Amino acid sequence: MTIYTYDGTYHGLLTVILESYERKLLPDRIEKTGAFQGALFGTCIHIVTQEEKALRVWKAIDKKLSVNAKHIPYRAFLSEMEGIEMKIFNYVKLVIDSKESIETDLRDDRVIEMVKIVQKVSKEAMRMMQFVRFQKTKDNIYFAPVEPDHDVLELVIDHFRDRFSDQSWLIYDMKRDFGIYYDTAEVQLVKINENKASRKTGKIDPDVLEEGEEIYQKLWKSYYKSTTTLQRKNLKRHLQYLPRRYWKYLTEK
Amino acid sequence: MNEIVLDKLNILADSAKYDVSCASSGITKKNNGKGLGNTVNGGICHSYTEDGRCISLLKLLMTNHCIYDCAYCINRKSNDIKRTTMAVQEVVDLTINFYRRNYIEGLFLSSGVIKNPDYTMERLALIAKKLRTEEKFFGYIHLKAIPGASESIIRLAGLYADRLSVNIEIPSEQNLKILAPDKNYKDVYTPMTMIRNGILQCKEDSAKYRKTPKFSPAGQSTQLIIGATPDSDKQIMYLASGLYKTQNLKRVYYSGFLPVNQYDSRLPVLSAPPLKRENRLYQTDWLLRFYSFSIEEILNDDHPNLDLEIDPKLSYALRNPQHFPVDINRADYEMILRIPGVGVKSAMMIINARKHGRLGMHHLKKIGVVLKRAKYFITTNELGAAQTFYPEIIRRKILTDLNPNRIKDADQLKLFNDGLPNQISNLQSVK
Ligand code: SF4
Repeated sequence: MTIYTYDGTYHGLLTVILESYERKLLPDRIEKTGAFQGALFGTCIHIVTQEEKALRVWKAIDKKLSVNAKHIPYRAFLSEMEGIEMKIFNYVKLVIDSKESIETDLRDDRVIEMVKIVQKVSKEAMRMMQFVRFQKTKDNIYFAPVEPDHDVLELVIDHFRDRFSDQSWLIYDMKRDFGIYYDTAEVQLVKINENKASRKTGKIDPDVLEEGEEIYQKLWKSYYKSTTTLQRKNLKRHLQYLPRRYWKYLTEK
Repeated sequence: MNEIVLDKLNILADSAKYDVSCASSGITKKNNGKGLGNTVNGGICHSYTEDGRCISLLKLLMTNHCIYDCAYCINRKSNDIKRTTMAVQEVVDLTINFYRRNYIEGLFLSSGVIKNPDYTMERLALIAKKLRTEEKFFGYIHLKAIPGASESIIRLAGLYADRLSVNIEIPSEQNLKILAPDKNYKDVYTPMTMIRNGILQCKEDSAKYRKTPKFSPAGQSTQLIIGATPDSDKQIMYLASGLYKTQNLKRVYYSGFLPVNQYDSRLPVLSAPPLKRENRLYQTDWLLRFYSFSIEEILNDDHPNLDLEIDPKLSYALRNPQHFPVDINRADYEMILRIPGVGVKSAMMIINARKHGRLGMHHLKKIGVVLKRAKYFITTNELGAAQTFYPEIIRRKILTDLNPNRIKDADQLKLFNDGLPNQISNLQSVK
């Protein structure tokens, strides 16, 4: 059994793929260094991330796949699903080894599985666009706490930058403890030292909230209430579209 | 913003909620880098009501005062309800501040008629204008065109709004006259035609000149109330399909009638809104727009009403056994789309995947085809000759699959109906 370990970054994973080709020793498992518990049998090889090698793999993918499919390995990586590394490895290997693009060959389990995972990740990104709720702070930053199922924040940067280009905002992943921050010029990945938002409710400390924030929250809540038609209540549908796990950071819930 | 606005918002959102034609779709519009907002083609739902409907736009009436007296409307003048009006600036502030917090995609503004149609329309246009010019707002704006307003004002509104719409509400003119004595089809169709012509004109011009001001670029839509009048599904859907063709409508919405006023002998008594029927009409609409069905295939003199028990696509398949089973490896895209249990996405996937080799049932399952339903209508030539096609048996099997308790329910239904006068509403409650 051959086990590769890497630093947990996407470039690290791509480096593993290249190295395993160079060594002619394909992996049976790929593990993040931190999470790796050791194995009783087999060879364990740690791979140090090398940008240049990662880039070579990316170029090979780029050459073989269409614009629509190119992002598949990376988006699948963002799913953070257990065992995703081997799935990506198998997919990329298939892509590189095949003469023609295999992206539409959904008869192949390796392909359809990746397509399904990427659908999930993209859906979660969509949900960020839907369910982010900004609260305005005293220093004029619109702040939104989120807790997406997959690591999707960077997939929504363009959307929020284009839409809210004249206001400063920070969308913060409370679970992964980092955020995307836009200062009306550019977007940066940031980590805040002293998080003023509650992980239970997402509410920011009242003393850093801008005056007037509360009334807008109140207006929104009451709008939400009055727009429901009680005679048509349908909780099953409601929960299907708005699963409970998103409720805690939704102002109206 | 203060408590007074809160009060107004409650009243005006409450009276606006019966208008369901409020998606934020149909246009992609970028921010120029200096303003606020954009629009994305499919629209985004920011929340969902407890009845499972998408909340995308801030849906408001500017005022719920009205000089008219339509029987089905909660705002009619003869009703004794709390009335209020929002100031232009109040609507603007609410929209901008909701938008900045990512609550909404934009504004959907309608209004009762105050003073006269022109006066009312002018104020709606003014709100849109302010949002665009003063606030540099690039988000979605949908305005209702007030029937009876003059062309110049509707033109003006169309320059600022992404979508303009007029509601037909009642699917036939003779019934409209009974329920809304102040209205007629001419009043509704005149602004609708104006908008259509405006959109066409704008398209022509923009082909010729580089800088043509946009006019209602996301098109127009309308709403029909279902179940307030005896109009059949066929009447309703032929009307809708005609509107798509002749008026170039982007969307027709169907809204199950909900009695909001005191008993009125002109309207039926329903114990619940006809939600199931409404859903079937939407499915039919969908088949027309995305599945290249023609309306005659779904509704005709032999089949003037939709089957409430099964969806219209399945119903079509069962009435047309000569087209089935479909060979998944050979049939063209249109035919694959007609298989019950296959959606647009899976149809595309099937077409793509079979280029690489033959598809079998297990592939279809992975792709996401609902085999429980589709299996009766497809062949992969795996099992030799196809099975014989007995519509009645398939129908029964699928229904039992959908709801194993069905037989029990049906018995109960019979029992109940004997004692109750309005059958329609009881049928609605059968899933
Ligand atoms: S004109 Fe509109 S607001 Fe006035 S009563 Fe008729 S439907 Fe209601």
